[in-house]
Amino acid sequence: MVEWRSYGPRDFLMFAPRTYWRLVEIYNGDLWPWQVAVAMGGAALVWHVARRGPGARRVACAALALAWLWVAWDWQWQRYASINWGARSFAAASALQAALMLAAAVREPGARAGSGQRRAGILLALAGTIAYPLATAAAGASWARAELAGLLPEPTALVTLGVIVATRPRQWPWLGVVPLLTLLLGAATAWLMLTR
Amino acid sequence: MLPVLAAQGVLARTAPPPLMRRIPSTGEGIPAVGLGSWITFNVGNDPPARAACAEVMRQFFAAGGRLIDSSPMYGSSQGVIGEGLQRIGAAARVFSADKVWTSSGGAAQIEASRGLWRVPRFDLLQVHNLLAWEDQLPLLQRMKAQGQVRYVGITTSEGRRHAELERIMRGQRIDFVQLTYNLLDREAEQRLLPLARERGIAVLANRPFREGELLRQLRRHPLPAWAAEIGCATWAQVALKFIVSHPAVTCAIPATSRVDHVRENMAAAGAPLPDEALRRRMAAHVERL
Repeated sequence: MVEWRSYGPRDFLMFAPRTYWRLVEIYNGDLWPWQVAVAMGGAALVWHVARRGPGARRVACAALALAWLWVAWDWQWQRYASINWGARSFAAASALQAALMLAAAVREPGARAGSGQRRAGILLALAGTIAYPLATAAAGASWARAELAGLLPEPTALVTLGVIVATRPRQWPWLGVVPLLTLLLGAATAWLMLTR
Repeated sequence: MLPVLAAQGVLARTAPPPLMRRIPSTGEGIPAVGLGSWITFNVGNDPPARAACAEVMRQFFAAGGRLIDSSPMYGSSQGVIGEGLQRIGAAARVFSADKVWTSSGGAAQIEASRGLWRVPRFDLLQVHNLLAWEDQLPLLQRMKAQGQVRYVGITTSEGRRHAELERIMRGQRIDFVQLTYNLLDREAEQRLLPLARERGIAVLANRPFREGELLRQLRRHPLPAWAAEIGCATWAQVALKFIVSHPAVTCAIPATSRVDHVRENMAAAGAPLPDEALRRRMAAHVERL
């Protein structure tokens, strides 16, 4: 058994910050110009949820299922795993989240969200679709470093939390577990990279 | 092999011969400064970054270096090393030091590692961070008996489980031990380094710069006058000379992704070295900063 107690958080940051950022740049370079469609689709989805458009919950959950599947396969499994052996486990968690979102899309809705809850959810989703990509691009002083919802895990997690808070699918708290863990892990990784 | 290295520029520059140390169990000499790969060589599949790592290795060999250390824990580092060795034609020159890091299936992991390194066999295999050493060390010893590896060892870092390491050093037949030793982390001086000398165990010193944190701290301060006495132009060289001048240390393994740093490190692997009195002054000075 691995004596995990003898390891600290820093021991699990096995790549240099520049290596991670370069991976994001290459990923964005390979996908260009699909980012335009992904960003516009994300914004339209949040707008649809905000105005309670027809089938908003089903459409949003199904779109997010697709997003998590993409994140799991193309980012975590194919790319991130090349510098982080833990990434294949993250990919499994993201695939599970995709399945849960798909189930939420086809099931009957739960109780309706209150207006305060809806507003909070929309704000979270906007943070994921607009603020997060802009902040990461600004931090890296390059559009190539922008991390978009639907392509990378942390902004996808923010949008997912926003959508489930705003639309309250059945058993919605369970849908938040993987996104919350994703955000915690992302924050820890960012903190370790910034303090290295 | 030498003509290949020369043709590819590995031996193009005439570097002074590096400081050599003997591996106690055989008397074989190896240069006192090696090359680590934790973080620095984990660059994934990015071709320019992999080429940059190969260039670091080219300069390392050109300066007389030989020992490169890695582990299955280090992400893509093993594959990057293997590709680099092939690119610069140095697979026969390298002293390959790798690790086994698993609770079970050690043999399969070692074979996968060897494939990534693209070497016929490893020179040194170590049990990484004492993980399942009761199972893995006998495996490594069997491999050594069968000629599948030349040396066996065990590693720890950052002062982890020194008491257990000491028990292994006393009770098992190992050629190498790898531990953390630098200007600030000197716990090994108390028991482990003297024990290594007594038992004829070679010592690899990891984290010589505390992953760069030590140098970032030291760079704020001017080099003391005694640095010139031992031929040091930078704090990195001071830190390395301190380590390799300990009589029990066989090789320090700084990791770097920069060609200028590998040259700087290799330049520290030579005379003059500090004597015991100066070593004490060096440690005291750095502790006060």
